[in-house]
Amino acid sequence: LSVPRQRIKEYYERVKRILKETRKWDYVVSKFPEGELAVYRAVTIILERLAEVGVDPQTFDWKAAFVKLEDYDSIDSFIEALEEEGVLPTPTITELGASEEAFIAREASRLEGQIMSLIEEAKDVRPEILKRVRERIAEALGQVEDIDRLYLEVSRLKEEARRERAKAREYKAKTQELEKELRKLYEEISALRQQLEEAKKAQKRYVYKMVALKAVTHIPSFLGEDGKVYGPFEAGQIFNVPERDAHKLISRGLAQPWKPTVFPPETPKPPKKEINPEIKVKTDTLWEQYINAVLSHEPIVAMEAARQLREFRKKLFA
Amino acid sequence: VKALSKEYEEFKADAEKLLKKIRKIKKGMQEQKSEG
Repeated sequence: LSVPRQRIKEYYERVKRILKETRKWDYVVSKFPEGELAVYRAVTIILERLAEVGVDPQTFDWKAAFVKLEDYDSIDSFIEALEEEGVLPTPTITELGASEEAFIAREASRLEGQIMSLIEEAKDVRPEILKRVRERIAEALGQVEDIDRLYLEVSRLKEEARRERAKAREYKAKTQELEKELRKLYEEISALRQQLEEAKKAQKRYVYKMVALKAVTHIPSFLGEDGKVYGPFEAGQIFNVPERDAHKLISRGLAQPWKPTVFPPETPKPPKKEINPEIKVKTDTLWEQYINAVLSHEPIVAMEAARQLREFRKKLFA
Repeated sequence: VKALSKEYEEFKADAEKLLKKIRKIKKGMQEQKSEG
């Protein structure tokens, strides 16, 4: 929007000539505290405004405008009067920023929605995932601080641009920067939300290997690796916990591994003793003698063999 | 339960701070738009 200094000087000289010809120059210069500079500023504002809307300054009626300058108390009121008369194009600053502002308001709404969903979705997420999300939110807070500063600058520039045309370009550039920063933050929050969703899905898919334990002492409630709360458990109580938590409890001496008994224990049997081969031979012989004596009707021999066998039996099971 | 909800409450507080700032910008922009 800047107009070359040479051109400003050229038109300033023209206006000066007009005012001198109409014998208004001396009065105008003495009326405004800035003196000649007031005229120079008025010429600059008009040239910049014309350049902005693409009007050739040659077509502007400099004489008709500046002969009335003496009627005003300030250059600003002179410019305003020219605008009201329709001689000078009205500021387009509102139109200039309107589309950007609408975009920023829209983008902020979308971002608002994303953050609200994020808060809702984070409700039943495992603490370690939540911790990571929180770290990213802290980063986003830093970003939004910058956005806030940028927004204040945009608001200030808008006010300035209303008064000073040269600020219009700066205002537009800052508005676009704000727009870009907001979009960047939106993309980051969206990505974070997506990651959270994926982590939640993975959380559901993952099946923790559970281990049965028996509490040795009182165990206060704790948060398991799967994000579930376990306990409190009393001594002797049997419970299931994820494997990693089970290792911790065992290593701290709070619990012992516990295996469920599927079948009732068998009744104990006496260990089988190996029979001395000599005794086996002797008993076998005595048993044969006893059988033969019975079969050959020799009761005295049979009774003697039976007596010896009883004695062996006594010795064996004593 | 306490540990879990504390972590979530802290996260929620930060996210709400973010939300508040965004709403402030949005409100300002809407006001400027209606002014225009």
